[in-house]
Amino acid sequence: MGPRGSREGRGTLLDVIIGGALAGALYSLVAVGLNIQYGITRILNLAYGEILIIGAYITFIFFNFYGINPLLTLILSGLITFILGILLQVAVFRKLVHSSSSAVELEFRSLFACFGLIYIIQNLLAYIFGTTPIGVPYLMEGISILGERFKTNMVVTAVLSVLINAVMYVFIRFTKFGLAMRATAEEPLGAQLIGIDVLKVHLVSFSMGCFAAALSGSMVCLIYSNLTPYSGTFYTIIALIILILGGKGNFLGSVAGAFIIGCSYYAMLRFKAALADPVIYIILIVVLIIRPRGLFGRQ
Amino acid sequence: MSKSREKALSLKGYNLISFAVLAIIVTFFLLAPLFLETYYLSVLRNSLLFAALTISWFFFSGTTKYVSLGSAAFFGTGLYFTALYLEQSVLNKHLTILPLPVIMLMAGLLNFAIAFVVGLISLRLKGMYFAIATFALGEACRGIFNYAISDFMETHYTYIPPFSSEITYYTITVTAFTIFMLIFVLYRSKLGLALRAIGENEEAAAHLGVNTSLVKTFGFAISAMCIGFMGSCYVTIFTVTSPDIAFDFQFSFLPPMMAMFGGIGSFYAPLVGAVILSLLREFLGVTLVHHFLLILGIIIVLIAEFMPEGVVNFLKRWLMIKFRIRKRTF
Repeated sequence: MGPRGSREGRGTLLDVIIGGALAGALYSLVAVGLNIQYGITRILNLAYGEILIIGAYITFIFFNFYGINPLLTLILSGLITFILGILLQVAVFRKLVHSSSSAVELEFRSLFACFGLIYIIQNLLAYIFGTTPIGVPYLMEGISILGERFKTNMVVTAVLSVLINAVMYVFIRFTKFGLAMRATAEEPLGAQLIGIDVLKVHLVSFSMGCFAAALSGSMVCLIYSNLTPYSGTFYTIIALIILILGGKGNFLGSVAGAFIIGCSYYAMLRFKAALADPVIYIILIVVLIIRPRGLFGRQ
Repeated sequence: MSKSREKALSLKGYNLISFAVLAIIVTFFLLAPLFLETYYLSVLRNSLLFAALTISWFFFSGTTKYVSLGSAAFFGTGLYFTALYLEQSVLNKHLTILPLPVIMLMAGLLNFAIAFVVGLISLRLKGMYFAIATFALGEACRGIFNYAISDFMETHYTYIPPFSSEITYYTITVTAFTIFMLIFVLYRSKLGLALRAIGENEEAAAHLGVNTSLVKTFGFAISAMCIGFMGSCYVTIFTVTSPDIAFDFQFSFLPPMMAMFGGIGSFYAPLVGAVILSLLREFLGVTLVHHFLLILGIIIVLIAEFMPEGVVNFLKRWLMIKFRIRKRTF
């Protein structure tokens, strides 16, 4: 949340656009993870925000207790949650997919399992670390972009998010495994018929989603110092909203959606902070009514 | 068609055991304040509250398989309308003081109207998109109420004249049982049949002449109305409330969770599931605060994995196999 009141009136539009883009870059990483999970494995992971919070806690622990540079902890948090993602997919979601007779049943059961996971992760974190808000204050000093001042960590996290997004995009778009992932997203049965190991694809895409979630969680932790075990829900909602704006399975759509949400959220925080949350929900509801497939969705 | 409806509503086809059990339960709940302490009354009251919320959720989402995660929106609207009316009718001379049931009825009808409009718009969405839209609706309502209350009322809280614990208990009990009966009748009516048909296969239902969008909207509105009634009578337990309490998203998450815990195949299963889970929440939640929710989470994941039909249906099937019962007893 930027400082309010001091610069309003001069260059506000530029400020909102740059600030929104910086916030949007981080949100795009949040959303892309969920998009990969939902688009490819067809499981709506409502416990996504909780995995993001796990990432934040990993950064907090390694910074606070071992004094490791917060940017280096990103690697650790990514690795740990990638493994966690594999475990979750194998232990919980794989069986759900296999034993459900219809898509509707799978939706119901995965929703139910996600409620359970939300309870488990939130209370495990609260039990181990308590409910005191955590945060890693890092690079808090200001930096000037086109005459507007922003916190350095916002800029650093935005650049990193764009880089990570680019790497994931290249992986999905230009490698053979990425092709298999896209094929599975389009038509799981057909993909299996032409010899794609669907199980492996699901495993990797679910873990990649967790990986993106944890990285964005670690970065959120650098910017805001008010994260508790219970603040994951907000990020789940942000990711869901961007997922719908961008369209399911649309990587670049998610990035564009993240920019829209980032700008409107940042602008509302500036002018009327109390309305920041309702406005993004209203954007979501309006988009769902006008274009149920999302602003950039196909079909 | 009227003949089959008569049959559905008639008392034939129910054996005496069901009636005896029902009579005992109703008598127990009505006489409970005579022999139970206040704490146990509040436990009973809360379990009835959640049972009514669950069955209202089940009436639309369990039958049509359109998962609504927006119960909190309707619960909160009902609760907040009642709270504001009670507060303003004391403070403001122009507003007449009305008895609680009349305000509750108004709150329910308001919810019916809101849900009808929301349903007309949002029920075009399918599957998870509907779930996300309704969830956003609940959260948006919370934000807007928070903003409106703190901006126009110049305070974050709304004060409610206190009610005695007996009045609270009886308000919630009577409303909950009314909702059970209403939904039981509706579930077995033509509307309920149409809703279940939509849940099985929406296109086939449309081909058989069901006006699916109208039926869905009506079902959604009735479900929201019942949730609004419960929200409205829940106001009696508070002396002060705020939008964060009224629109708490546990009211969105718990009804579907309790319904799926019991199983969404029949009318009784979600009801029993809700009572079991809320009693567990009340008793174990006090003694083991963090552990309990952790254990609950593990239990829920295990049920999702191994008992997709829900605990109640699972137990029923297990008992039937164990004792070789062929006929359905209830």
